[in-house]
Amino acid sequence: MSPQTFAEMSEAEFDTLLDDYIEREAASYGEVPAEIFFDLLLERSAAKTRQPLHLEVTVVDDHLVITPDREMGDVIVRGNEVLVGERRLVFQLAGAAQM
Amino acid sequence: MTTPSIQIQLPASFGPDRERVVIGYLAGRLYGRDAWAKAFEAFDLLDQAVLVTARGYYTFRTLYQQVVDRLMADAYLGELLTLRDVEQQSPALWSRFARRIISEFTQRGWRRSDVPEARLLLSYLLYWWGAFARGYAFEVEVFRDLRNSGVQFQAHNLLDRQQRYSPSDLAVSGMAGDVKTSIYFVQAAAPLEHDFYIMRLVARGRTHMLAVLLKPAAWDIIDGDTVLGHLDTIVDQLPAPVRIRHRGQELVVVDYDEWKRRILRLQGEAQ
Repeated sequence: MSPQTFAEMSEAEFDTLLDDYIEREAASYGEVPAEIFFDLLLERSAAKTRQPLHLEVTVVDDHLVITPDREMGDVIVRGNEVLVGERRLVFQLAGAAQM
Repeated sequence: MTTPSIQIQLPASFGPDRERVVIGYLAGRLYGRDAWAKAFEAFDLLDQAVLVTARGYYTFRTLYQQVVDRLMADAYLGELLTLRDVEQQSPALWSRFARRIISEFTQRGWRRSDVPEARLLLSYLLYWWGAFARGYAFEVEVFRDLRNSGVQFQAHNLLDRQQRYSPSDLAVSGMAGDVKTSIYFVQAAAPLEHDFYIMRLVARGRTHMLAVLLKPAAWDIIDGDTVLGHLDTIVDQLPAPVRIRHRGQELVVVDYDEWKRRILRLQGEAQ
């Protein structure tokens, strides 16, 4: 863990942090150590299964754009489509309804 | 001319310790399980962080989609597929786009010394860009290697957005699989619904290794004995197929080259 927060970091220190990050990632694989990978994967996949996935729907140039509140490997959301397994759900904007 | 005001709203549970762990990730100073677990949790929480500008409220997740994915993903993948040696050349491509993200962030007026929390947004964009770009580079590496090895498989077309977001990355002998880097795999963790996952890990802090994680039913199709393993020893037990039981799940982990050898044998028998 870093001893500093961003508020305690100068612009130059922040630039150095970013430069070093990019250099290091470009020179390595940036992977999770195998020794802890499986435990974290199984722990998080079980926990995330129980969490709801919230979808934000906006209208951009008369098209629906759906944005999930997080990335989730088994639910794919792009544009106005949601893929759950082999099922593709396509959402379309309906006209205004009068009740 | 006055600088337009921006504000960052962080989730209530995102405190200074979470911020320090994000910085620790950028600085390459995550040591041990707890540090990594906290980093994944911190980036989970940042999904819900919000940038407030005069034009509206935008979650970090939405900004990643709008500023990075929509503007850079196709261009990156187009260049990625032209590389002769993806393993050697893709890091430079990744870093060029990472620097472009930093420029874009600055040009949009989000780099503000009076709003240090905005640095979390840039950290978030770079983190997810790394997951995306490194993930697809690894996928291209694997597809090319499978082709060169003679493994028969069907893969989605990365340049076709519709196909790119298909439920699985590839199918081998009727089995659906994904190719994943370990960070993306854990960060976007979901129920393990595919038959197999090809992944890259780092063992003992430095040596990278390719492995395949399979459901037992998929391993039964390939056939073969396994040794019972434990998380602490799995790296040493590979390349032998290792069966692990952990957190209520049973999985088989096998060295990637060993998996290919067995798939080639299976496909040879089927012809």
